[in-house]
Amino acid sequence: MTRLLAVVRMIGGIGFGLTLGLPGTLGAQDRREEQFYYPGSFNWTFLKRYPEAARLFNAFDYGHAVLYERLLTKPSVERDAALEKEYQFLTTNLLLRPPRFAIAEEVIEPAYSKLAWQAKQMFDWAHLLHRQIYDIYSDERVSSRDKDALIERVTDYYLSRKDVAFTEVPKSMALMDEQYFSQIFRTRHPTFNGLIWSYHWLQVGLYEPLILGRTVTEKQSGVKATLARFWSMLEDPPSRFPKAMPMTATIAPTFTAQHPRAAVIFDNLHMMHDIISDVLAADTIPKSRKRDVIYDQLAEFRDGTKNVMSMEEWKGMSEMMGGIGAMGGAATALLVPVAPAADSSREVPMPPGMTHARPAGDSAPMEAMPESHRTHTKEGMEPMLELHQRMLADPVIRKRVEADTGMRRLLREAMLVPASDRVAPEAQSRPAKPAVKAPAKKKPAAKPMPPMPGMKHPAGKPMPPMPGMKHP
Amino acid sequence: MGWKLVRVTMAAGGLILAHPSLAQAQIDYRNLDDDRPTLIEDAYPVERYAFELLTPWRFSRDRAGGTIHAFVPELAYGLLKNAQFGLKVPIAGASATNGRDWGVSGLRVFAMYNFNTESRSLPALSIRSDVTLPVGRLSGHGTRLSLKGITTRSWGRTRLHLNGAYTFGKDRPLAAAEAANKWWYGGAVDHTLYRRSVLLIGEVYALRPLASAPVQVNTSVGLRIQVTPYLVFDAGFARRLKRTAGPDLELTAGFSRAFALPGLMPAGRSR
Repeated sequence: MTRLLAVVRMIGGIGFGLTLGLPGTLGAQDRREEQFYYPGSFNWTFLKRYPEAARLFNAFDYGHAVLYERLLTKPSVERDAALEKEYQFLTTNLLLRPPRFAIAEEVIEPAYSKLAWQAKQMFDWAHLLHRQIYDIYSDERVSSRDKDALIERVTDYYLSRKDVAFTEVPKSMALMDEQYFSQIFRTRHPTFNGLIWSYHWLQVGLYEPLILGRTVTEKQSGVKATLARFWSMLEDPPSRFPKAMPMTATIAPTFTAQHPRAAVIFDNLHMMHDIISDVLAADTIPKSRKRDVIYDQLAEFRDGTKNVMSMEEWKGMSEMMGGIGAMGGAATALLVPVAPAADSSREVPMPPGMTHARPAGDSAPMEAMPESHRTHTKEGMEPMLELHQRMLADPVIRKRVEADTGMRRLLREAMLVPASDRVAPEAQSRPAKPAVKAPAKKKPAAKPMPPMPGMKHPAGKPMPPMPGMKHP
Repeated sequence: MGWKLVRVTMAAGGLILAHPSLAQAQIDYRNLDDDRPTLIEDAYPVERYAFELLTPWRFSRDRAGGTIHAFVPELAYGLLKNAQFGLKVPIAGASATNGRDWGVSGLRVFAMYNFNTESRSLPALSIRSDVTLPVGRLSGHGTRLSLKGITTRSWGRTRLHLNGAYTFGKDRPLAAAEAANKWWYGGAVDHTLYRRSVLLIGEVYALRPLASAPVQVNTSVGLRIQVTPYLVFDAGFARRLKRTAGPDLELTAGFSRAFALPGLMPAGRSR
């Protein structure tokens, strides 16, 4: 009887509390508000067909989560060591053996989840869109036309949740780069930031081989090549990491042309990732205010009416941000031999638009890849890549290739490089030296480089203000 | 009749679990459902627009040697934001003097509402209501209404769940399986192995089936494993801690799968 009374008291207490005492408190709490993703048989095809890529994304989720948790919970003086430890774990363990299924991020970032559930929710919802688009592209049962329609449908579904969806209107880059807390994280933790940007590079870059491949074999080879480029970025950190946030329009131009709304959403998502890193890293924002600042930023990125830029301005951002080379290189371009460490551009600041002669991601040491990837690559791309690399390493052959337009064209086509991303053979084969050194040595180029995105700025010309942001 | 009924139920469940044309879905192995495999559940309902189908089996042996096999197919649906509604149709086979007596063991309709996700100041809080209807040969007598309070609090990979439930109404014979106990309360701790997508769970609870029955104190352990992106397997084991009351042994295992039906999804805004 005593126990019964205790139970009755407990339940009554909960009920009473909920009725009278807690509503005010509960009203201030975040709601869970999870929603199922758009159903269809295409779901999970990417994991089935490209597990080596899909599982990497699970490790990326861990990387994002643990970064926020450490930034939030570790005092400034301990952050370097904590992030270094996590970086080592990620690059020597988790990325090499990524989990089969998605990571329960609340487990990795318990404090951050409790602080900013809405941010986690918005990221989850956008990552879901990412994943579903991969699934659609990977499903060979769906025709190209139906794939495009389906991608637009899942994008509609994504946007139907106004409370958690990033706007499909491009937000001003100034929100990421010119607020009072901006760039703190990337300045203090360039290596970890580079790792995050390499994640973002792969997350958008992988769309390209899936779209450009005409057959399953071509798609598989393309995905492997793009993965190889990602692994090459992890060599000699942070020299080969992207130097600027990879923009979807630059890294995935074909995808962007077909699905501009989704491309914009992903750029807004990736900007928000950087913003939250800055807010969490900023000592000028007390811990008690971080949630409010983050929630203000989230509201900003759901709003497509202010601090926005036009689609044309957005597509042109690549030039202002240093071009495709600064963003990690083209997703489907040729891999070339690794440059000696002495030639690394770590100490050499790369001016905007001058990075193409040494594309950041254009070296692909296969040793950097896990064994599984190496095995796959040997079956597909590696022999061809090795052949190209050996041939182009020979100065006589290189000269002949450079002189022969037909051979140059065949080389480009063989590598499935989209026209907008094509790099001249001489640039591909040239040992990766800092671009800024070339003019100093007055080394005559055998052939002029074809125009490339981000190379239109004359050296020394001041950058125009970022579009979409009103400057006082 | 008994095994045939069970086979039909299992076949229907298997069809839904395996049917390729249904929307494939991911079930979170960390979504701790009641009885799957522990009595205690977490405070979070299924996602909005998601269906969750569970096809568990449970074997129970009491102190006197009587045994019960139970198949408890369950379907839950995230009808509203932060709320789920569901239906359970337990089919039980109770040992009898002339073999095993099979039949439907009542019909249970339930709703659960989650007030909040866990924050720095509050655990996740939910309330659940079950109505047990006397449908079937082994359903006991009378309609019963139960109310349950649920909380979940986490510390990284470890979570604590507290549940407490009370059933209104007079003492009447209970259903053979999935009975609405007079009251029960307990706590469970789970631990996530995030790289393997496995949840390990242990619980202790006190339970009084009827106002006139002795109080049981039981414990159970179990695990939930993500088998595919949309399928979870769970298994558990329970035993009484008091000598005088409770099961000698309980074993349970089952699959659960979440899915959605395109026709029930919001169309999304038109371009």
